[in-house]
Parts: sequence; structure tokens; C-alpha cells
Amino acid sequence: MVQKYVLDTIPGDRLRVYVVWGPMLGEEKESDVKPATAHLPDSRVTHFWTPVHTLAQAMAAPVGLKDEKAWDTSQLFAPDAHWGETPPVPAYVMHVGKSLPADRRFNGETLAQKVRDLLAAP
Amino acid sequence: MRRISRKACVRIAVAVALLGWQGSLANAADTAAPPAPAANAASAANVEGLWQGTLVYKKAELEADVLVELARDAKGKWVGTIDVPNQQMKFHPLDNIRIDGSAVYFEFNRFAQKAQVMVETPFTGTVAADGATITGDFYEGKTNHVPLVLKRIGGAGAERPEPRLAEVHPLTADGAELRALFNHDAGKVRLVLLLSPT
Repeated sequence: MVQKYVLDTIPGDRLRVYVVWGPMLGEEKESDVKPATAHLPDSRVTHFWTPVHTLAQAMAAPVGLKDEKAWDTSQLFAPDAHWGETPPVPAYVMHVGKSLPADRRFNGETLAQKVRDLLAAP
Repeated sequence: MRRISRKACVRIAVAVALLGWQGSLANAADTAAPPAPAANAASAANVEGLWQGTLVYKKAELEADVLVELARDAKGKWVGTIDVPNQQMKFHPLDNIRIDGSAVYFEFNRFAQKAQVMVETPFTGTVAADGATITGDFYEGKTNHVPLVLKRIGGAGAERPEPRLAEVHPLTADGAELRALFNHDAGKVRLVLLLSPT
């Protein structure tokens, strides 16, 4: 739905999307990823595969997750965000089924509006 | 009366073979309504084709694209398949297809591995007079239903849209490649998605 609601509605080169495909459910394989890229075919998207949870663990704390990994989260970063020793705190996060606020549950339209807001910010 | 194309016959045979599915086509043939009467022939012919739509369970939150192909076999019986790309489901046979004038009925039945139950999802819809759309609902259980508008994108047996696949970059455990690209793209709005490919 990121393709439909965000990328298809927001043109321009000032937006980048990075997808980290990984073993969220436990049995995913690298060979599963190529077909999945069809859901986000936009040229502004870069697809990665990790067979481990390290990154999903590292990206959990900045969004307020304590005992959960950051799988099934969408983390939006402002243009000035910098990734140092640890991942930066996102400007906005959405999730599916995490112990985060219900109003942050994934919604493509809301996410697209947050992207527009960041793009419009001075 | 138009018959199913050779390409569609082959496709459906492949679907049956791939899914290890034996008997449902025969069952469908046994239970399907008799061929539509002559007065309805134009509407029935309109239903044959390749149709695309989106199941909107909850707008912008939970949606699923579907591709439905409906055709008649050499004996005039209705056959069909459904693709649900985000479930990696392709050429899944439809059951109990019935066309009566402009009324369209079929069932999307599948075994849910996790829940270990059979999920039966009947669809009822109406084909537009111009044959461009089928508008209807998928029923899940007796009360829940999901609206679905199928738009014709081709005839039965038509080439399907080729998925655009992208390059996949392996990450080292600490995600150094992502961090480098993230920082390289400073000045842009950046969105990181952490997802399962299945």
C-alpha cells in the first residue's frame, strides 16, 4: 500500500524508500524477496534482505519498542536525519500489531500526508 | 457462442497441476448452472475475460489486489482462477462458477494452513452492460462482506501484467549498507519499511 498511497501519489526525487525484507515470521527465505519486490516497483525504492534480526532489534528502541523487534513498522525520517552509531529517531512511525499507540497503526493515506508534510517543511 | 481459448485451457490445466488440485473443476462442472439461455448469451459472453480489482477490507490499511480469469471450457462449462499476489497465490481455481444473465457467482475456497480450516468465500456480482466491470461483494462468513469492483483488462487467455521485479541487496547483520545509503540520501525524506516477504 506504500506504492499505491505514497509513491503513486507523491512524485519527485526528494523521497526515498528502503525496504528491509527479513525473517519477521521466522521461515522467510531470500528467494521469497524477489517476487515481493513487485509490490514496490518504484525506482525510488531500494530493496534489502537480511536473514537475521539484528537491524530489526536496533530499529526498535528509537520508536519506543522494548521487547519487540521493529518488523512491520514504517519509519519516516526528516531530511536532516543522520544515522550514526545507532539508527535515528524517526519523525513518524506506523506499525502493524505492535505495542505502540493504536492511532499509529499503518494507514497509507496518513503516511502519505506525513510524507507531504515533511517535504513541505522549510 | 465463444469458447475458451487454447491458451486459457492450458493455463487452467497448469493451475490444476501446480496446486495439486483435482476434482474441483469436475465438481464445479457438476454443480454449475446449465449454460445460460440464448437470451442471456450476450451478458454471459461479457463475463469471459481477465479481470483486475482490489479487495478493500479497510481502506488504506488492509487491501489486497486480485486478478480473476473467467472462461468456458470446450464443453461450455465455466472455469476460472484467482490470483492474490500479496499472498503469493496464483491460478487458484475458483469453485461453483455460475453466470445467469448479468449475475456472476463464484467461490474462492482455500485451506488456511495456520488456522487449519477451510475458508469459503463466495462472490456475487453483476457485470455491467458494457462488459467493462463486474461489481459485487465477497462474503466472508454470513455477515462480513468486502466490496469488489473487477475491471476488465483483457480477454480470457490474455497475457497477464508482468510484475516489475527489483534488484535485492543483501545486508550485513548490522545493516551497514542501509546506513550508508540512508546517510548518502541526506536532504531527502526517507522511509524505512521492515517487512516480511511472505
